[in-house]
Amino acid sequence: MYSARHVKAMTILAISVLISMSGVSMPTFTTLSTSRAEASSPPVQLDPDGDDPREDTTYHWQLPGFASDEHRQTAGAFAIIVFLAASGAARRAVMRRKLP
Amino acid sequence: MNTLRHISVIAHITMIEGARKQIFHVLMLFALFLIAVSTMLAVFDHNVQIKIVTDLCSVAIMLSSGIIAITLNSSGTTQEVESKTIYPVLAKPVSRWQFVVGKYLGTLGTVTIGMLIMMAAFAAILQCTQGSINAKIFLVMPYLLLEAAILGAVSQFFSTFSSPPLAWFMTIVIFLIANFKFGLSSYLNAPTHDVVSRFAGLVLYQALPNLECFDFKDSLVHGLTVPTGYLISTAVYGIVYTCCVLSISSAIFARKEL
Repeated sequence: MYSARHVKAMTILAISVLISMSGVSMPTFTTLSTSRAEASSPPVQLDPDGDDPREDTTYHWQLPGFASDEHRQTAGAFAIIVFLAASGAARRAVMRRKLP
Repeated sequence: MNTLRHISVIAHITMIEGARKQIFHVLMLFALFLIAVSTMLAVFDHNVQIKIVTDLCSVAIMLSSGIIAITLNSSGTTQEVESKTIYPVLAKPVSRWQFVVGKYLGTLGTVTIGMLIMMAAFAAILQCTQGSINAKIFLVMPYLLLEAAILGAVSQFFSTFSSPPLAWFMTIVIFLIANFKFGLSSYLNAPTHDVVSRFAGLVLYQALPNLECFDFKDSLVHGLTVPTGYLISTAVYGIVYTCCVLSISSAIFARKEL
């Protein structure tokens, strides 16, 4: 069904997209955005114990955007499951139908 | 009822077959070696040493179970086709999706066996160094298994239409990227990008699994409490995502010419 050419083309495409997005651009972008944010931000008020609040660790379960991403993906995945189950059931029903 | 019986028979055989594979034994030995080596960090203060041991053992278990799941799933179905052992199975009243799900569950069973062994070693080491076992490891481990389950499903998906090495490599790439996926969002949505790039990035971002959310090592190491609602939603997310990828794999495999 899938020739070796299809697989090779798909692999090259996937790997180039993934590498260009994650491996090359990300560190540059992070460095730039961090330095810009630091340059434009107002003086930092220290915590009562004298620590820099920017150094406080925020865990992923404390990030609101993180959970909303999960919920969106869960809903999308569930919709795909329902769609595939319905299309499979419809195909089986058509195959079982008696021809006149 | 017949469906369950078919799936359980295929899963049982696959699990035994997986547990006999050399790669499983090698990865298990590697993980147990890492867990054992973590106790040799006696140069640190006792509290720091316990934290390092906990962190190192969790990482060893996560990496080993993930790689076992990827390796076994990437080659399972293809090997059955190449050795032609799939034909007698499919000649029986077993549908292709039952075969895919059975193979997947069997591999997951092998991963679970491996994880239980590693967890027993981890608990024994905690007992020796700390004098007690942190009960949170029983909370963290199912999430590591869910992470391995997602990786296994992705690997199974790739193996339905590509060769085992390619499926393995692509799943490893996804494994690496999905572990810092949330950090990519600000980059992908940057207004400096053109519309097509942003759309492609958005599609990729929505399609990739978010493996970061199964990482509760910090909670285990620092004794932090994770909200129950978040734990439940993460578990539901992992199960639904796995089922979705398995459904797509089954649909592709059902249309494949064997």
